[in-house]
Amino acid sequence: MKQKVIVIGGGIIGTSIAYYLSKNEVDVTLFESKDIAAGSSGSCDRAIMIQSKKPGPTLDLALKSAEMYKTLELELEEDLEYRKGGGMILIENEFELEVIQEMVERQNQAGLDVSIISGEDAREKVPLLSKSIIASTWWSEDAEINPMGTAFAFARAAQKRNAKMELNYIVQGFLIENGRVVGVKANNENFYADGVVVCTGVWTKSLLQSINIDVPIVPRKGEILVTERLPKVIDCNILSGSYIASKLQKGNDNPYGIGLAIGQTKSGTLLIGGSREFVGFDSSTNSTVIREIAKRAVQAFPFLKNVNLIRTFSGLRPFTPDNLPILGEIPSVEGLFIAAGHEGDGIALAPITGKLMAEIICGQNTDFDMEPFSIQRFANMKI
Amino acid sequence: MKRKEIPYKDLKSDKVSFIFNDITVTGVRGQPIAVALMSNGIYTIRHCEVTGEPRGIYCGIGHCYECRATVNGIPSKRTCLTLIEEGMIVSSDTDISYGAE
Amino acid sequence: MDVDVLIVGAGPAGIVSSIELAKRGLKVVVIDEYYKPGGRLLGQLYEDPNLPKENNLWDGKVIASKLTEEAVALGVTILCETTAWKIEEQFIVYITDTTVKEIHTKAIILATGAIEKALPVKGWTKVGAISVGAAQTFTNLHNVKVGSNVVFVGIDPLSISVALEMKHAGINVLGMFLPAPSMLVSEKSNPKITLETLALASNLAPNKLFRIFGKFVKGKISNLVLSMLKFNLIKINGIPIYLRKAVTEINGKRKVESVTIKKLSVKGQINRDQEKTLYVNTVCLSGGLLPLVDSSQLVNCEMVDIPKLGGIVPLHNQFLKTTIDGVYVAGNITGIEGAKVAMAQGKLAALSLLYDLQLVEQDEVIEAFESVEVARIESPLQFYPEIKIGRQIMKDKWEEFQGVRGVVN
Ligand SMILES: Cc1cc2nc3c(=O)[nH]c(=O)nc-3n(C[C@H](O)[C@H](O)[C@H](O)COP(=O)(O)OP(=O)(O)OC[C@H]3O[C@@H](n4cnc5c(N)ncnc54)[C@H](O)[C@@H]3O)c2cc1C
Ligand SMILES: Cc1cc2nc3c(=O)[nH]c(=O)nc-3n(C[C@H](O)[C@H](O)[C@H](O)COP(=O)(O)OP(=O)(O)OC[C@H]3O[C@@H](n4cnc5c(N)ncnc54)[C@H](O)[C@@H]3O)c2cc1C
Ligand code: FES
Repeated sequence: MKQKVIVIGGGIIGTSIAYYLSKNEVDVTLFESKDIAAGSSGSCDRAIMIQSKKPGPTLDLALKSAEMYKTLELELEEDLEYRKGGGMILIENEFELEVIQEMVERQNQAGLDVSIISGEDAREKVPLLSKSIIASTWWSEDAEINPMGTAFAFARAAQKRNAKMELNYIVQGFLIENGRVVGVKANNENFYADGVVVCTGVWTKSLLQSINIDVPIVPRKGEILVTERLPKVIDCNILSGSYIASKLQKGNDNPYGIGLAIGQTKSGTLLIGGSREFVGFDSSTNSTVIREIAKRAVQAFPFLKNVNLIRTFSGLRPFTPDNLPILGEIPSVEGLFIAAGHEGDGIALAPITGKLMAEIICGQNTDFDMEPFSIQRFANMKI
Repeated sequence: MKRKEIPYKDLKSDKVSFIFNDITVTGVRGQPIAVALMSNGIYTIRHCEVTGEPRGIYCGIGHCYECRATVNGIPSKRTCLTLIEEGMIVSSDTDISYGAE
Repeated sequence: MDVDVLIVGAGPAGIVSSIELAKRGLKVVVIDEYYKPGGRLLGQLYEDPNLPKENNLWDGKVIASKLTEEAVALGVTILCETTAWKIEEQFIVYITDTTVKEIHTKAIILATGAIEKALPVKGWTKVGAISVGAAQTFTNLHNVKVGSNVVFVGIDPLSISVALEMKHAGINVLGMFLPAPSMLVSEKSNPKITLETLALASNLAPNKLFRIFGKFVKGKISNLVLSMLKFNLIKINGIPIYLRKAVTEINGKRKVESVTIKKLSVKGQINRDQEKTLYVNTVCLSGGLLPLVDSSQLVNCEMVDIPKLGGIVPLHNQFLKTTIDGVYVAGNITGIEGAKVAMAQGKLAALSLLYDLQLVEQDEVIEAFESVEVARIESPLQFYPEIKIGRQIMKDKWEEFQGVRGVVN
């Protein structure tokens, strides 16, 4: 008989897991309290940007994930708006240059051929960039994707392999017998399965609290500005170096954690982010933050002062204290798995997360050491 | 962006001349661009970015954004709300490079 | 900029409010996104049967400039070409003006008026297909002919009145038709509903032009409507009104060249066999009016959906207070009615606010409330025939809301 698994959460992580599980001949039912991509995966940016990731376990996953994205459109037979246009981190002054140079050296040692190019060369790639940019990094492997579209594509591909998508189902708790999970309670009904995966992003903490499992995931808000549709002006991912530098600069206060991130969607709108704020589940947008982001955007791209914003939105990143996602089985409850806490990398890490979790749930060997991602790492932490 | 000679300016009259896509159009002071164009028999203001179809005014009062044009280099101005000025340059193209130093 | 009251919208409701407030010494600023004050008054030009015959022209342009002059003389600041993009609590209003970026105010009156509903008939994006509001504005405010041979799609009090205004201006109006039935325009393509709506509007407003319909309205409406629909053609002042024909497509290569017309059954079904082409260069689309409420959502007003008022509107009491302390509404944002009602509501909102500031007596508020009723009766144009029922529903919903709020507090 086929193994039966319940996936909780229809974000990019839950749908990816549902897809890879169904590829492994598992009988999958996904429960989503609202709709596919109704959570963080529908209110985020679109970058698969790896050049700035700290060498270590996440970078290894991210590189593999980026590799998988290259063929995902073919595999899922859908247009995901995938584009490998490269990525840049803009440098505005000597201090930033110094900090970024160190980062680039570190990346080079880790085997990423990120380089630093002059302001002129940067403007050659992105002509409307401000003259005040003195240099920039460049890595041709950075890419982007439509996150909402990708979550839907994963869900549809899973459905084709007979996975069931139960939308508007709120999972209220778990059915546990003799230390083993046997199903979930959703919309006041019981559903049974051999295994359950929790992929509820920022909502994971409260869900697992019901069975006394503590997960240190908290929401970290990000606000994003959307412009009117424009002709193609930006073909790559752009971050500003000032955020990276400001973290190292003492006394540099940036209360909203603003760091510029710009990209252009297929339809032509620019997405201009973003902030990093710990304000609980408040998802309103704030005029001070909006103006500050806009100001920095105009600094980097002066032409933007004449461009209309059509709206702003905010999303919540599932933050963990050590910035690594939590992936694997929950030791205290047999058959219960977790894949959450991807913070600002959930889109980039979605394919590899789905593949690895499917392997773990099916008892197969994985190509990666999963120890750093285990929930056990928080066992001794005071939270 | 192509710049044409600034048209002759007549201070005594209420006539105002401006350039729309390389042709000189004369309207009356106080008229929005779309009105001046229409009274000169010009109905098409831009082309849709996606389909290439011509577009003109729809609502006439600033709600629908169908009448957008680039005015003195600034893109996406609603021509039904923007008053004509002597020597103004109005273009159907979206030229966003203006303002990039 | 610091003020006592900020008014969003310089239409008749907003300007009248500003005048009443400034008269009592308050510092008032009015913002409007259009390039001149007046709102939809600016396009209005017709004979008003309620005015004395010798001088019965309702010229909105003139009324708007008189009101504006009065407001400015009283010290009101009017900022045109300015939109509010964010409103924060008690109250900071962020605006798009380049010099004044934010306005700090104690109270807000939202008077943003109405917008037109889109009427997506096939081919409606072609150059030369315009909304009835654009036709009105270009004809009456700008004095520019939008075309030489024109048809109207959508038959309602507003489109009939604009068609008459255009004919006056020397434009050849070839006829008025219903839109082809589709999911989006269902009621608008139903001859029976269209006629009933017109009949009700004419019954309430003793306007010369609607009396033509009114004549038939002595008996029961439904009987009358059925008998009227037997005729294919009615004419008002020489403009043919085809209640049994629909425009199914607007044709033309680069701009409007013709429309395709098909017959409709009484219930609004298309007769596929018969088709006619009418050569025109302009099509005016009339889809009806909707309250423009996004500013009230910016301040988190409680909203309610009351179709008899025109759609979703901010919940408010009879004295035009919303669910947010210090925020009032006036004019078409509360429901679609004519300019006279908007002006009366502008005064009422101002007095209601002044009463809350203890600057006027209750009698004055009551008087202002009653004059809204009078304005309603005297209005030559009625957009939603059951507006009075709509107002009553709003009153009930407000009381219901107060009840709930009372329990919570
Ligand atoms: C502003 C911003 C910008 C970002 N930019 C990027 C970027 O450029 N690149 C990148 O890689 N990442 C980015 N991220 C991060 C990325 O969005 C997240 O890491 C990712 O979306 C997390 O996916 P998820 O599936 O874990 O969570 P979610 O998408 O939040 O999915 C969780 C789902 O679970 C459902 N759910 C919750 N509780 C229950 C319940 N009890 N029962 C049933 N269903 C439930 C929710 O409705 C939700 O749909 C950004 C995030 C933000 C906020
Ligand atoms: C196309 C059309 C035609 C009409 N024709 C007639 C007619 O012939 N006769 C009649 O009696 N009634 C007519 N009406 C009804 C009309 O709405 C009322 O007559 C009256 O003008 C309503 O007054 P108001 O003050 O509520 O709103 P309006 O007159 O609509 O004024 C609202 C003002 O608010 C401004 N505004 C809106 N949102 C913002 C914002 N966010 N920031 C800044 N400014 C903003 C607008 O630019 C506008 O100037 C028509 C309405 C429309 C839409
Ligand atoms: S015509 Fe609608 S905004 Fe100008």
